[in-house]
Amino acid sequence: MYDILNVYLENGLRIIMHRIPYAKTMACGIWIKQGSKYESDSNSGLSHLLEHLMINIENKNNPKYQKLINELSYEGVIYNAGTTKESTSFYFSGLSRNLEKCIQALASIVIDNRNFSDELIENEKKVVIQEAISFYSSFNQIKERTSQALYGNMDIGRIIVGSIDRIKCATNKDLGKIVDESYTPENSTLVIVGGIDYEKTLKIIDQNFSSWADRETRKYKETIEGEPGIFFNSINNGQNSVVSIGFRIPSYIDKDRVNIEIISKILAEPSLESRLVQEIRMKRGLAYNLGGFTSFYENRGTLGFTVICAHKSVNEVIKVIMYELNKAKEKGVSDEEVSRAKKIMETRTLLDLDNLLAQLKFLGKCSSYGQLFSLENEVRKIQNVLKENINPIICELFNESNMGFAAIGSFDIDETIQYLKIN
Amino acid sequence: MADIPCIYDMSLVNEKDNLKEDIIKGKALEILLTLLSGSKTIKEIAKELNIPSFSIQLYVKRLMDNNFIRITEEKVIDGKIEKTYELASTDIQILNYLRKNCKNSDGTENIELSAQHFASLTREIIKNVGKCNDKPHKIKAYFIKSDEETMQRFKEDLDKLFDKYQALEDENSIETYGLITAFAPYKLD
Repeated sequence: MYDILNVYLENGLRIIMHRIPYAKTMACGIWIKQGSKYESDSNSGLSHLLEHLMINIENKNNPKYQKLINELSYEGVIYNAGTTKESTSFYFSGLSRNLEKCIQALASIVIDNRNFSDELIENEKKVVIQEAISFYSSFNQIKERTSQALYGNMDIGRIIVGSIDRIKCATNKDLGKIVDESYTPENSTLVIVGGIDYEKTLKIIDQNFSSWADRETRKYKETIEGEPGIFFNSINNGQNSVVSIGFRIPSYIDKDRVNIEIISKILAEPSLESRLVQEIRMKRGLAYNLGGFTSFYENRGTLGFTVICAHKSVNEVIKVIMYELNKAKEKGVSDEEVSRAKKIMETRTLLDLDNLLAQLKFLGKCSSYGQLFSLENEVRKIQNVLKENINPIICELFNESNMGFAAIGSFDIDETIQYLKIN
Repeated sequence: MADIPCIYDMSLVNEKDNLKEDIIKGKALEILLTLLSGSKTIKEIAKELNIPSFSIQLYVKRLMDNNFIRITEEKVIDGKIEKTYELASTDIQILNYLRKNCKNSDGTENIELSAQHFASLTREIIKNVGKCNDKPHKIKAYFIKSDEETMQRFKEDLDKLFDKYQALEDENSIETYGLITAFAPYKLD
């Protein structure tokens, strides 16, 4: 049995608690619906900068938080934060006896941090810009570039680390605007998992979060490009190019999500058995680094197939991928492939069940979408996947009207896009 | 270690300058010709040319950057932005033309027409419109509803006009101008 308690404070803060009997550890975190999706050109990258400042222990304007973090660090509590396209999260994990202080620290992060010194902002800008430079100098950006190509430079197409130029000129006022408009109780979810007592924990939460003023959250209307597009940067350095063929897919809460993940695994799981790895790496030796990925968001998602290969091999690689996608559409997948993909996904989900932080993040993501899922239920969904349900989804997904293309490197793009054809 | 130099630019398409020069390669010319019959969305162009929308967007970006086309309307329908494009200027009018001289094996001069030659020659000429904007140029497509007899007279007038300027040709001139025509019945569905 998997029990989850879902409570709302009077100020609108949502609380999700999941007790794990006999556990001596806990993890807790707060998810605020503020990420690059909600940014514009005028504040691109500031959600991420704000996350860095919010959790920064050098913030002398918040001595209460500094003291709590010092005490928690002494106890061995691990803390971190993250910014995605749709949310900013702050989280702690440690022994259950540290729960109260962790909740106090989380409350202090979102309630007390309203002002940062210029010195702190300037210093953290340097760190965030360095992180952005690393990202924009890496082939890892191709996943986000695929979403950018599919949806445009807006909504979930926006890059999380944002614009380096905009970060450079960020001010306390710019950051304060985001805090005022997005760091509100009704826009946040507090999640706690592990060896906890529901009633005691709720009392602690109430003591620390009920003072968080109930304010109106900024309005957001989702807008994306009407048609999938292209990202292409013709950088000529180095030996390799990176390419990604992407497809618009439904949201995280869509009934076909698990099936689409299975499709991604069958075609391009970086294990040696997937079709693209077999054809591109094993048979032809065209690339070492390739794979498929899915990124699911609240209202839409991205499925991508990425390959890093020599500039001169790009067209051959593209031809192989398109051949395999068309073949999958025409002939479907086999029972054996479905079975293997299901096992991979089931094992990974069960491993997450034994990982408190993974459970916390899973609940944080689901609850910020207004959903209450459990990892056990995820396993059930995976086990129930049938080949008969997968083949029609492949036909629906692999469609030129859903397809976009992202690439960085040196090759003849005009020639390459001629090969990107779905039958 | 960095895989590539940092990409500071936030735009979706960023090509090297030498790639930008040949702006009407690939499908760009076809897009220009498609827009001759009126403004269109990416989806409509994609459907008409039977190529994926994402490819169209690459060429549309190039044509926009070089001021060949512009956005005439932008609206949001069900949370999706739909942009309508049109030719940027009425001064840029597309005249369909092809005259290809080639020598046969017996040395006689002949005219060889083919869609490929038409496309490549037209492409070269349109490229130069952007490069030499101050020189005489005209790009336009004419569609006239008329009877055969009138059109026959039109053709004869055209021939006379061409002959007149052909006779004025100065073989020592540094500059060469191109004029390509394609004149035939056309049906607009």
